[in-house]
Amino acid sequence: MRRRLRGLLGLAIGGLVLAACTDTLPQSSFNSAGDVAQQQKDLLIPIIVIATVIFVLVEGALVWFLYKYRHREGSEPLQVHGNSRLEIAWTIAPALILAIITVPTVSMIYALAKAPAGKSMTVYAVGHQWWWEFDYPDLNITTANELYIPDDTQVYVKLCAAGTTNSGTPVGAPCTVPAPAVGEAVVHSFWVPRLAGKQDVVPGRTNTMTIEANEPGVYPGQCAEFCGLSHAFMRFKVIAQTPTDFQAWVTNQQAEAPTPVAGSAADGGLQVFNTAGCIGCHTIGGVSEGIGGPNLTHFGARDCFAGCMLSVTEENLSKWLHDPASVKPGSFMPNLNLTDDQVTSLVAYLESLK
Amino acid sequence: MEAGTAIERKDDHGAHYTSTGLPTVKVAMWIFLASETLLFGGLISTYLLYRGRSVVGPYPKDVFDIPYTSVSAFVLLASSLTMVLALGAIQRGEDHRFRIWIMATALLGLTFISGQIYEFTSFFHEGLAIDTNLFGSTFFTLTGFHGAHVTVGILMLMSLASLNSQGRVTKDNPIAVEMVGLYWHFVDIVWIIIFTVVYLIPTGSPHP
Amino acid sequence: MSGMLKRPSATRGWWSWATTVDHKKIGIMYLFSAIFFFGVGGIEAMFIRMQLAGPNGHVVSEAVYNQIFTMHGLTMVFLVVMPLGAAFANYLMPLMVGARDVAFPRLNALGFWAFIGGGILMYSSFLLGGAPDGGWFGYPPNSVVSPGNGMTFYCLGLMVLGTASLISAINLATTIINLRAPGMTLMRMPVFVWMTLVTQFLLIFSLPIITVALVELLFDRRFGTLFFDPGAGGDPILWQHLFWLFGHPEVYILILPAFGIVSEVLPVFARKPLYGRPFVIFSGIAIGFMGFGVWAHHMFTAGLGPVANSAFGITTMLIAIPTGVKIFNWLGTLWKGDITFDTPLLYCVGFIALFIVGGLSGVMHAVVPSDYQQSDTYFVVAHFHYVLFGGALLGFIGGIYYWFPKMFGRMLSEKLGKVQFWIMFVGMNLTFFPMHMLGLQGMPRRIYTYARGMGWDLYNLMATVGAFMLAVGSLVFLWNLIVTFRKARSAVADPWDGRTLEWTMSSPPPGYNFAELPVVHSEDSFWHEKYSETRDGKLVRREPGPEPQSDDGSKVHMPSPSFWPLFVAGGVAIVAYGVIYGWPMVFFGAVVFAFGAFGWVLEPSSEE
Repeated sequence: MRRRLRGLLGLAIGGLVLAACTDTLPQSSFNSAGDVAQQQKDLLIPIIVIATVIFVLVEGALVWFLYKYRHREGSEPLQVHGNSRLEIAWTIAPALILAIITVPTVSMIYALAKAPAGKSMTVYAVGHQWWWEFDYPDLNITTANELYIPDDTQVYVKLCAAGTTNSGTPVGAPCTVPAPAVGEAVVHSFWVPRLAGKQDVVPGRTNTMTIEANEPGVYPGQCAEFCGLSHAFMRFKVIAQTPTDFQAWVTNQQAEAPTPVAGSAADGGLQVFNTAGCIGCHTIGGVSEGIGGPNLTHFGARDCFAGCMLSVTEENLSKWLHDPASVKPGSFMPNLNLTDDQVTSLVAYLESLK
Repeated sequence: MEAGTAIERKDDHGAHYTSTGLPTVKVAMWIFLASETLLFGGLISTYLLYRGRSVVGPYPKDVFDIPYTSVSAFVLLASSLTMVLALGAIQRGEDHRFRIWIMATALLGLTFISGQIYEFTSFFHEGLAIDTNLFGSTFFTLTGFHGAHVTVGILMLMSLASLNSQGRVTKDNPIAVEMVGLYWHFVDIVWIIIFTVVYLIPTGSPHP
Repeated sequence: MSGMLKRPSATRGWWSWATTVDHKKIGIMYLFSAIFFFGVGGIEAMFIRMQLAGPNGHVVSEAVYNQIFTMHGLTMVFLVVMPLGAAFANYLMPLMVGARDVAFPRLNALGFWAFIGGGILMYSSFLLGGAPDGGWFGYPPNSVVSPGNGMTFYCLGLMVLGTASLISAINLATTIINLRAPGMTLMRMPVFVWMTLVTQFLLIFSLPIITVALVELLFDRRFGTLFFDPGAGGDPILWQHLFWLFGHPEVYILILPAFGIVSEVLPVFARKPLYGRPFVIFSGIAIGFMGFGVWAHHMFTAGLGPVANSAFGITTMLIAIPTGVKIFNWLGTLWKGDITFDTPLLYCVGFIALFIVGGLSGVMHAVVPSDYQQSDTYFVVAHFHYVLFGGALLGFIGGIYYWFPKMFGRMLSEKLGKVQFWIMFVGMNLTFFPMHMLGLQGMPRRIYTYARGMGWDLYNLMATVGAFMLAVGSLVFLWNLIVTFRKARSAVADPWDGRTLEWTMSSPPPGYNFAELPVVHSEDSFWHEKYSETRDGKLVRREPGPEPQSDDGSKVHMPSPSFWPLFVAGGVAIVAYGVIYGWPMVFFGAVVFAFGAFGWVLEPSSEE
């Protein structure tokens, strides 16, 4: 019986550890690719092992007792009321195990709460309904949906919620310029599981966290606090690059938007952009200063849009520009009643913004 | 108000048998008041946590009239005294005196409420409404709930006078008076706390 | 006027149920209401699972989905598990302490009818512009700005339900404290009564706190106050603190009655006493106190800072101890017992097995830095469904099978009960175990759908299949009820060879419970009337068996029925609707309420 129990235990633990260590899923906390996520996983795995041991022992005892003490002809129940010493012992034993677990737990709470020491870069992650804005205050870059970071630097993320409150007050400082009437300021949560656990994004507060990627790659994330109609579509990607590639990206981002060739479809799109009402919300470097909507200066270099709900294709962009709310319920981007021609040229313009 | 139930057992002497020796209604009233401490505790905590956080005025120091509110606090305190006198009267079987003291309690309570209505109206005219700022929201909600409790108390006090006239609340069955008394004293104590914490203790921050 | 004040006297028919003040009838009404709402909440769950069965689902719209998952949570917590606790507490507790009814029978009826009013209020929202859609936890600012009346119904519905529960809690606590039979000291009370007592105090102290939160939310929505408005200095985190100060004790309110049931059922079917009874009682009391010290473990990612997170991480680890230790006590009860596998025992064993899983995942949540990954994901959904479905619900179903003969004079079918058990046990694990993995693999909660290529497809499909199994199991239960009620009454007073006082009465008991109030000499007093123990722990049947209860209750006078509780509850509901539909309705409701209150006070007492 004991051999069978040990075998079962080994199988269970082995299976779990194997599963945890070979996880390749894109948004899995066990597929850790950054220091913070690694620490969090390394703390959890031994505890899962302990929990599995306890599970097998206690459930095993349950099943064993049910089998051994089932009613048979002549069986007699032992009228025992308890054993104080045993009960004290089985109160102290779990307490000790928990005390032991508490030590690395508390220590890691404090470690993760500190701002990064050494080389670091500050980024603002701003939660809007229902998309993520990313600002690099020291680099003068504002972008959306895709957070580019170098893979050799700790990134100190400051989290703000932007939007309008119930009394009509726009909030979003200190991370972004508060914009009236483009979304409500609600609680979100910033979560990129492969790099770090989440932190909530609370209007009126500025929470902080650190992320760091071990190597270049694309690390998806999404909002993890229910925030309204399109909560499920508030997604983003963290894109880690080598320092050289990242510098190239920075240089490109800091430049103004490329001017389209005169007379081209993209040029026609720029005219639509300037006249159809887009400039109220959307900023394009060298073209417009809008507030409230995502910065589109280098939109053409992005893979996803609409809160990373859709990939950048002509078909998706077309559908979106015609009627955003029909694609993404509750979207605060208005339906500007654009004609098909206007949409086509806008799409050409957006795709030209590399 | 039924002062006890047919469920209670009587012991050999005909008195109601209970596990603790206390009347059942009394146990229930104390438990109810315990829950009320959490209710007012929550509202007072909200007030305290939000003290000094209003973004626009009017602020407390702009509207409070401490001498005025002190008088109305004293009125409520006096009503607790008359309540005690009322209870003493009915326990001695002095029905007429009981009715006088219980109506005096109700009247003092009514005076308190009237004072509050006047106070809130003047705050309103000075620009403080429940939706003006955090101070308005927390202040009016807290004092409004307290005032509602006082009002319910006044209705109960007046009912006791009427029940006494009908012979349903008497020297032999005074428990309802004691229970309303407990409630009334509780509401008074809550006001002492609110008065101290909200009116008297200065905030010490730029926006009091 | 005096004609109106005459008390109703119906003993049969629907009017007798509408005017009853008998704790047993009220308990039965709570039971069937809970079963009904379980069906409704279950249908909501089926919609959720169908929507999430595969990526990019479109079974319902986003707006409807948000209402469905909100109502599913509200229904299961407030309209199913809490009323199940109330059902058993109401029916059993007076019988177990040797009382004829609760301390305030009409107030008891009011608690029930206000509960019904609250349920109607909540569900009428579907027909009145849309149900609440901000989650059962209602976090502002989203819950403040959510358009329409849905979240206003949330505030009002919960305030009515909370008031109903508070009234009931005061009543039950007073009964336990003050109306025990002679000789029934606190330590001689059955463990179920102890768990009920702790539960009532948790309600008494936690409900006012959520009332404050709901008032503030309602006022923000309806009157423009600024409690949760960050633009005016308000803080959405205040809601979280107030809500979870209620919300955490609430989960112990949900589970403690089931702990009590398991503690009663196991000894009967193992035929030996609860192992370490005093420890089980004290750990229940400890949970009651400690339950108020862990609330911010629902807020580990809210940014409270390392001091708060560490403190609450530690208190959460600590509360695992009294919770977990009970499991050892139950195992000790089974050890060296003489176990028969009747359906009630199966469910209680299922409870233990599944609660262990839920408890262990709970401890994992207490590992705060890892909780930054687990929080707000399907890992949490797995955890609480293991403790609430695998735990509380299975415990209550076991209780239903166990006390059904006492309540209704018939035994539920053992065969159907066992079929139901196995379908539910397998289905439950199939539905909720994969959610542990989904959560750790990055799937957040409360999402309408998910993208292809995340690797979540298989586990979600499994969960949906499991949910269908649970639906089938529920239908088997329904069938069992129908089939059983068609049978004639046949149960004896003591079909299970029970230990506590309710088994001394006929099945069902007479209205007055005891013809003569019992005098109690020990814990498990009925058992000790039937059996004694030898020094080496053997059972010896006493001769002769205990005298059957004399059914002559002609000298016992019970409180008469009354319709004023129904009336007053109606007034409360009208006031609540009035907050949405205008002051005239509030005023009308207040008049109804006041009229009802005076009628209540002035109606002739039952002695006339």
